[in-house]
Amino acid sequence: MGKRSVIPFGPQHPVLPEPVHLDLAVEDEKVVKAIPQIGFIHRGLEKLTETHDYQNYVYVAERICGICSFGHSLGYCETIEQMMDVDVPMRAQKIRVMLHEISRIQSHLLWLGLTADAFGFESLFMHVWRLRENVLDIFEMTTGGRVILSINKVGGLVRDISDDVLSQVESKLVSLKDEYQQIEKTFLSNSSVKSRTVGVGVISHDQAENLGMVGPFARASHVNNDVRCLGIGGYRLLSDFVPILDTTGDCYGRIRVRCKEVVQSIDIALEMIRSLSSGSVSVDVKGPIPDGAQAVNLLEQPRGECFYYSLGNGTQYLERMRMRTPSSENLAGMVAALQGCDLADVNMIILTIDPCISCTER
Amino acid sequence: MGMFELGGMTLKWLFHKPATKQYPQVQVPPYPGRRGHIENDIQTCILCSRCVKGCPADALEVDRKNRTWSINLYRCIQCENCVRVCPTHSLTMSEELAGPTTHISAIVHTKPEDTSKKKVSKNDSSKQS
Amino acid sequence: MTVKQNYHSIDVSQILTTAQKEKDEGRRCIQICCTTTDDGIDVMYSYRDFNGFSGVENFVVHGLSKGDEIPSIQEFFPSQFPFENEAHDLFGINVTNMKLDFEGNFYKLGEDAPMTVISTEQLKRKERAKKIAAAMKAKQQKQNAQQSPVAKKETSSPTQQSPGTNNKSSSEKKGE
Repeated sequence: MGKRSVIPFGPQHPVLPEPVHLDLAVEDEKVVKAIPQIGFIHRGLEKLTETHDYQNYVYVAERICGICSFGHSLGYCETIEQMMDVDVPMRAQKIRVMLHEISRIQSHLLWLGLTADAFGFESLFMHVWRLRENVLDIFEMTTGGRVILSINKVGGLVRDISDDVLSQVESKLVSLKDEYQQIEKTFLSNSSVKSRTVGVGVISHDQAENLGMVGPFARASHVNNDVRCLGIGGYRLLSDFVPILDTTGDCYGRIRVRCKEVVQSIDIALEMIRSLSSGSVSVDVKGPIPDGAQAVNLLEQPRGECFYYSLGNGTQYLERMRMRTPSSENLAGMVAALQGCDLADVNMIILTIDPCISCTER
Repeated sequence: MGMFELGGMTLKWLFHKPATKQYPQVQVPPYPGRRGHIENDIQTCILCSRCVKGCPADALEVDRKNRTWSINLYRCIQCENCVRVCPTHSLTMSEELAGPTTHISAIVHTKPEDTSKKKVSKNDSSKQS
Repeated sequence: MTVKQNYHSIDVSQILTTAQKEKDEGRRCIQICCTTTDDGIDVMYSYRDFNGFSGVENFVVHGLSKGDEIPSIQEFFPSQFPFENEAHDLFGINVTNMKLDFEGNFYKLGEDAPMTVISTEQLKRKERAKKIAAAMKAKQQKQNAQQSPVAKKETSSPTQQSPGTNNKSSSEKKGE
């Protein structure tokens, strides 16, 4: 029977992209219990529906998080469009899906760089972030901004993308795919990576279902909850979509799922570009939201399923806007994965969950 | 083997020129359409305040009495809402970013009085050129 | 393009039985949301299938007020602990029997239950919108009354002018 001590982890830590605090109850180098504490980045964004009308709230929604920025603006716009029965043109839907998949590539590349850095594999971290710069250049070419895109509005897109820009995007994506696949092979077949991640932080299929986990975190335990399969929004235009699942449920499985998703996203983005037809990219939406109108929307963000709910009250200002982000849903899974692990593995487990705490707290 | 592949990549980059640029000595040219900062052609501006109503970040101010239009570039979120609602297209988005500064203040443009033609009031029947 | 969704009204006493029933039918709770309305605080529980998708089932408890107690569903769905603690911190609703209870320290806020405070501008806007809606309704009724001797044989269904009101009978909305 060893002595129990409590070690604080965070809120500032080199592996954490965003501040979260964990109290680790440790007994002889094994973690017995982990108690999370969040709230360092709570900004009360859901209350800002009182000061920004529903057309301007999209600029608040996309600033919830820097990594999942486009996902939030897309989910918000789709929710309001559903509430007001707006039909967005086909071209806008396809461009939205294309940009969202490119945003997923950017998020996973950022995460892969952080994971490599957590191992001490700094050169891989630099190479992956160098590739990520190509993706940020694609964003600047098409929308004018690198991180905060500001291209979505209720009713479609704010500006159209010309054909020669689209062909430049296509060639950049194709060259990105070749370079990325070299790096992916290096990372996944490296024996030191395998020795630190195989068998660490295992969560079984039943445990994953009971804890309600979402995203690649759960897909590594063979729980298929990918919202892109449901055909909501622009995703019904995909020709065939097979979610990437893994059966191991450990850290290595989660890394493998995310690495493969990058290649899948590149393919989806290329499919959307090649199948674009001409047309308008927006419809005008005016007028107040009807009293009592409500809508629910789901979206598959890079970290998992995101839930949006909005309620109108007859004015131009929303009564309630709720964004339930995937990282909040994964907090219980994170606490369960940390139980019984070695103190040295805590870094790796928390990183493979891909926590996005600014989304969790808003 | 994974090690040889990364070794090959590392060796290639040993002789390649660096991927980073020495900013600010070397300026990186922006892609066309980048959202930098807002500029106003004050001669065509009619001071209608539609841009003020459309701004989500309260960065613009219009004073009709003193004929000024001002923008706080560091409150601006470069959303281009003002450019889209402007009826005379006097607002444009330039590609240069608002540079670093030691003092945050608003840029004020004053519209000069138009003395070439005077308003004809309904009671006054004589026209003036 | 729409997501299939259904809304049901339940009572505080039915929260646990609904959670048990949804768990037995193979659904999981995906979120808990509180809203401050004119008649009090509403708490909404949303459930969704594990595999496949038959729609999002939303169960709403209406008319609670600050300080009321509701039971926790963490025994069935442990992943809901952030939302129940948030309901306590931001809206002042006491949730009993929580497995992971932060006792008010989940978010360190400067004010108690800040989401229940509605700003005066928002209240004024809502009043104005209600007056406009009442005036338009009265005008519509007057127009109908004037046309009624002629149109009694023809009009049978009320005219639907406001888009997207899907309050309770939304089973006709289907995901494509």
